[in-house]
Amino acid sequence: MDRRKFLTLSALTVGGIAAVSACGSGSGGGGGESAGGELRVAQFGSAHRMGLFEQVFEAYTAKNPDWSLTLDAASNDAYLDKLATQVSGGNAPAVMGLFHSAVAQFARQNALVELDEYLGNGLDTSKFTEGLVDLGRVDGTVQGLSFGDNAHGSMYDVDLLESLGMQLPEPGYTWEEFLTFSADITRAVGGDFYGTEDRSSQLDQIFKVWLLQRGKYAFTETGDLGFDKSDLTDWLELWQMLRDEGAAPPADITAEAGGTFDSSALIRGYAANHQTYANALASMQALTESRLQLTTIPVNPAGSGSGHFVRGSNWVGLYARAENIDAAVDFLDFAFNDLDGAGILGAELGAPPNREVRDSLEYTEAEQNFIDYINLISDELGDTAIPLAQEFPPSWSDINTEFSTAVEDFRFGRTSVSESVDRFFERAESAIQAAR
Amino acid sequence: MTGPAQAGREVSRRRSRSAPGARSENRWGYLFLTPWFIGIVFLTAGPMLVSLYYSFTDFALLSEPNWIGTDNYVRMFTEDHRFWGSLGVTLRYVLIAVPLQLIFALVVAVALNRGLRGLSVYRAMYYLPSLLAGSVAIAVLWRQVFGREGIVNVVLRFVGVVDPPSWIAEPDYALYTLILLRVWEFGSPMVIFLAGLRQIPAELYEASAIDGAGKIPQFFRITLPLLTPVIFLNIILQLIGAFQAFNSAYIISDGTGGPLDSTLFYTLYLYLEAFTNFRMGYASALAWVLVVIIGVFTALNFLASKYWVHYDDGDR
Amino acid sequence: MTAITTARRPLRGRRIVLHVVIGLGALAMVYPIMWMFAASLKEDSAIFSQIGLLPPVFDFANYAEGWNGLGEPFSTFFLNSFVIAGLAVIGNLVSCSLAAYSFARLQFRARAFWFAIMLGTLMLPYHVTLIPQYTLFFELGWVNTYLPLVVPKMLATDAFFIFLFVQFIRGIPRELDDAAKIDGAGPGRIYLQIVLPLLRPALVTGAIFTFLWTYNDFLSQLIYISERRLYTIPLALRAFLDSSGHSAWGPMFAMSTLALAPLIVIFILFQRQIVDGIATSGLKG
Repeated sequence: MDRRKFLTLSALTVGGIAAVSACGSGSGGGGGESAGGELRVAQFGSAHRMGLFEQVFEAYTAKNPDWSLTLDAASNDAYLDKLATQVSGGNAPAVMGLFHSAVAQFARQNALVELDEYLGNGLDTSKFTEGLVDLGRVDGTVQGLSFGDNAHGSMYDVDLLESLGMQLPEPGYTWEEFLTFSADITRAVGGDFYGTEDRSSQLDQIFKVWLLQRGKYAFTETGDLGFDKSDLTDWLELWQMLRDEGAAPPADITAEAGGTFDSSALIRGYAANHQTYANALASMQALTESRLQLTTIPVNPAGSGSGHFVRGSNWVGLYARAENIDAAVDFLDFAFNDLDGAGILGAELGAPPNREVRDSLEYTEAEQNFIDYINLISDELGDTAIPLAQEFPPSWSDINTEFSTAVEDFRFGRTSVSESVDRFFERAESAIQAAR
Repeated sequence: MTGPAQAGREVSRRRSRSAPGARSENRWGYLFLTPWFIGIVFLTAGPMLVSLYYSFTDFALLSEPNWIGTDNYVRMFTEDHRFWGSLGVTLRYVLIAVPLQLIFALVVAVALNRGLRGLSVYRAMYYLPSLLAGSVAIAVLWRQVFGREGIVNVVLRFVGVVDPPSWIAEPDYALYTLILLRVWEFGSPMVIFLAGLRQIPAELYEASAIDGAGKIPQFFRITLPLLTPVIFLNIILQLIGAFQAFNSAYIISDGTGGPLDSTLFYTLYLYLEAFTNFRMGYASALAWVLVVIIGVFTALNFLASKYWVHYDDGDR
Repeated sequence: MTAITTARRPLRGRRIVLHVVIGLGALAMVYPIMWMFAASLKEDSAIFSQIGLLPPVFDFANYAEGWNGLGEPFSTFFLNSFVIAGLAVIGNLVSCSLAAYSFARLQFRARAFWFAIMLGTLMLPYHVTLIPQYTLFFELGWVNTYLPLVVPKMLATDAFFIFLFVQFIRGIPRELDDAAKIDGAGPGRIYLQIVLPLLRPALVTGAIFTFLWTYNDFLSQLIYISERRLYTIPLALRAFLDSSGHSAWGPMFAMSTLALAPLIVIFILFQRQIVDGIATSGLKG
């Protein structure tokens, strides 16, 4: 390498830096005056969802030409990494999409705007599902809103059921019936196929529904555990029985399912159902050619209620240190209530919280099935939900992990029921104490 | 070695002992390091020291950190079973995967270095897996290989194994699929070995062939000794890298370190503490403990290197 | 006569065995990629349900969908990734070889200390310096540009390559340096005219790795890039997936396959540099 080449290289480098710093708009901040400016919106999800948001932005800008909206998107798994970094650096977008498990965390760290003064005053929630807005209360004030109503549900491969001469279970079927027909399905299909999957290790999924049927919530208002050893013991033994009867798959088949839809037992061809949040229906449907339909999680006829409740999904909060809060509020109102905004989003983020909007939109077959199901829960079967702050106390993350460990250890046969239960309560206690 | 070489060495030795020569080499030394110094001072040292500070605080990412002294460290060593668990997983991973991968890389590099028809194609194919490292598609692909219905089990069933388990879903086996993944991506150390093999002068082989030496003695008497600096390089770099392995475990276990924490690498645990539990202060403490551990391993290797690494330049 | 023929037969047999073993090994290397390519030719609903490797029809629809699937044509993302990776390569090669030459060849005060510091920077996991670095770059106004991704490479922050070059420089005999010194050359000339040329295999290796790792680097690109038109390939690929909603697996696999192509080409082109480079270290002259 001679001197000339070296110098050319250096010149290229300097030129490169110059070119590169010309790209990009530098650090984005707010506009400042309410007369107009830029509003940044952070959202998680796939390109499809981002496309919808871009359309909503265009619709909003058409009505409010002084404002330009930009999307700060990231895929789900890395979304919080980026958002938390931005909040920490003081540079977060004004409108922040949040996972339901993150809202309380952000609120407790004073990262969110208190929205109470805007409710009914710039942000119309009068047509929302009753009680939904209160779910976003943390420490007394509303700090998060939900883009879509959601509920726990179970989706079945109805093509398979019909080929076996069976039908989709009617909403409200019991645990007894669940055990019987799941075992029937397993026997009828044979091989490595099971009537139900096993999602018993997730604190926020069917466990909550089952627990509520016993009249208990996972956490109390003070952040303590809302259930005791006998509950967890019963839960572990229930699913052991389901596995013993052949209704549910063994531990290793279940363990192969990650958190993604493509890895679920249903899609992989091991189970007839998928028990999760109802808004997963459309995405699951896209991955298989069989028809999927929603019904409830099994119900306890002697219990106190159905255990199902309307909850939020795809929450959103406003960044406490952002500059254009009024504009952000106005945008949210547009996205929730204006048909030009909410109509674009449709059922993508959940059932539109504004009931009038919800009833006036058109849906695909899968989406309609979902909307009908949500209406069923909120109008007929639903119990009262608890606010996010209670559902996700400060110690939630640790307890969630310990719960999975307890159930999985037992599932794999590494511990006995009592060992698992004792260890869980021991560790949960210390996590709660540590979080105080 | 006599003549100009030795004279040159004497001259340079005299140069470095005499005052003006030493000072000038000093100056040159720092001059060449200038970009690195600027980088250290402005871009690296600051964040590193801040993270050290965080390790003594309760920094929760979204709000201001508060000093809590050594609480994080105390908790780590006395109360945190996942710390010890992840340390065990990582140590097992490092101590098995690194030697395995390096031996593989060396063998393949040596094999590919001799004339073989279709060589460049093979070389590219063996490097191909490394191109996928960190790709989001890896998780799905790995399940297609090691899952219950993966190709490995298809082959196993074909040869008569009755009920092969899902290798990625069993706590006893999952870590080994990750070790295999690392070994599969041996392309990088292999390429480094290839470059090192190229540095060995062909004359040495020619001279020894004239003396009647065969391929095997040549390997042990010429190739290996002259390759030791590069072998040492790969050991150190792979060691440091393996201790900090993150991507494969994160993607394949869906960010959980499961099943049953069997793939909970240390940096994965650190990441979960930082960004899922919002305990960045604690995560920083975990990070600095890792620095010490890696530092100790590296230092031991450097000390040991005196006994087996052969440098041609007369230094250490 | 007989001696020669009997000697030839086992040799050919061994050759065949060698070819078979290496060939099988190569297939094992390549299988997951073949699976990915096959998946890119299937519809989403068939990718995970169909067991066979081969798709029933070779359908390239995923490629068209993936190319335009993110609002911007994928060529934008290719260009962006190339620019960043290219600049990173230049930065690393220049700054790291300078530093490596200093560590390997020049005597200066506290050299061992700084060497240890240099290695030490490799040992701290990125996740804990992420936030302070972000704050730093935010204060500089570099967020949402490529500067945080490229400038550090110009300042030898990738200690991996410093160490790599150090070890290779130490493999270059000192006699060459000394001969040049007798001719009156200073460290600068030695670096340029003796060390760098002989470092070529290591430099090419460094170029390949820097390009590859920058091209595939997800997290730092995610943190610092927010505008769609600045997106790089890793960000674009992730954007196809949504673990709580609709994932576009087919297009993602299609674009992943496409994204591999430049890497393979670059590797094939450059590996000849490593191998066909200097076969001798030029002890003569």
